[in-house]
Amino acid sequence: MTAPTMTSFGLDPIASDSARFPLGAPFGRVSDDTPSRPEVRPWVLRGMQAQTPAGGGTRMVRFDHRAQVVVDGQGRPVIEAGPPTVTNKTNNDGDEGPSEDFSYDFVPDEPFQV
Amino acid sequence: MSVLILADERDASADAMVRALRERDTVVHRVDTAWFPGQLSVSAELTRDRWSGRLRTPYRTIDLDVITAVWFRSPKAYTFPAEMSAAERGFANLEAKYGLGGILTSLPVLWVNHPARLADAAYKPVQLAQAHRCGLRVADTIITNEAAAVLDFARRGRTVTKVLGSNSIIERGGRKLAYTRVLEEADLRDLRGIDQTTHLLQRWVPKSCEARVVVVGESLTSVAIHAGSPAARVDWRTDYDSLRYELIEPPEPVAAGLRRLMKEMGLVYGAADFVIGPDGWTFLELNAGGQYGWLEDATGAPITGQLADLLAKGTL
Repeated sequence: MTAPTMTSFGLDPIASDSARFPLGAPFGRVSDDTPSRPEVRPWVLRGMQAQTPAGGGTRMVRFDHRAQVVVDGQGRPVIEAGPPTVTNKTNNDGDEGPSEDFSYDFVPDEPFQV
Repeated sequence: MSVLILADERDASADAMVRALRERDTVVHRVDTAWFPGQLSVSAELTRDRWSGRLRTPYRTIDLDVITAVWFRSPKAYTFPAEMSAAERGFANLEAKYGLGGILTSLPVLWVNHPARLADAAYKPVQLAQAHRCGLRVADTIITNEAAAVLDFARRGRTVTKVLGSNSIIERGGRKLAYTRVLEEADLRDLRGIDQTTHLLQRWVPKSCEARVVVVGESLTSVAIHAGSPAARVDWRTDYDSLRYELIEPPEPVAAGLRRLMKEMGLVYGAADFVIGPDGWTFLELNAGGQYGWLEDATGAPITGQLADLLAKGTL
């Protein structure tokens, strides 16, 4: 079947043509930008909280292209070691920093410098 | 017949889906668009009304003609060589978006969800208006960059702030997150910066708990989220350790309204958030790419299985 696009909303999309294959922001983005003065900085950003490291220890993992899943250092699928949780942390090959097994809900095309 | 998963390579839910599809004897190919162009290539020709060709990854060649369903599960941005200039990366990114993205988007298969519908669903103001039209109760909401309008709205009742788009910002070498926050009088005394962009404020809805309803085709899985700390009672994402989960059934009018909203927005999958209070269920938002894995783990609800059945079937 075709995708369920023939709805009233689907026939009248609002996303721009360049937004319609939305991809998430890459891991490992860094920025040394500093906050602007209060008159310029968006007000809602005052409530932002610094992300604190999640507990639960860390694991060194990598993606296995043959198995098509993330595996540990011994090549065992990580998912077989137990169900993932929001507090498990993984270090993906060690160079991309910690990430939660379940990150926050997907934000399509989060603005970033390509 | 095969299922194409477009997902971040570090995604536990995608790991589980690969396993679930294999258990159903379904051929599955998993691709992260972040592999393009270093570890992912494409070649396709227009043959009458569809694109025929292949995707190549380090260990597989994927025939576009035999794909019957695509799970668009938050794949990541393309990764171009660091040696490219910013202008070149911008150009290459747009070419790949229209090229690779265009070929994939045109595949006449079951999409969960179609990328264009996912992009549309990111517009929260559209969701809220549409949810109201579909019969769901929606909290009083204002979107403004005028300080006077903020003051007027906030002084009519307890008010929370939320963000419309990304809930994070990266600066000073770290990531900062935005949570739902109750406005205090001190917040209203200094509204500098309100005028710099739009801000969303919403009336606080009295709650006994919240719920996330995960929609997969016609299936609804409704999980009550009971907060065990003051912070989690405002925004449960702030304190996962304090949360308790419970499978519940939504009232029929809420279920019907949510199904109608999904149809109107052209979505097959969604994770809808509600407040449950003395006035019943109040719709907060619909996350077209919302997470469900931790709820499945906590409650045993077979959401991965529901998605796998749908993808393997290839039709609604």
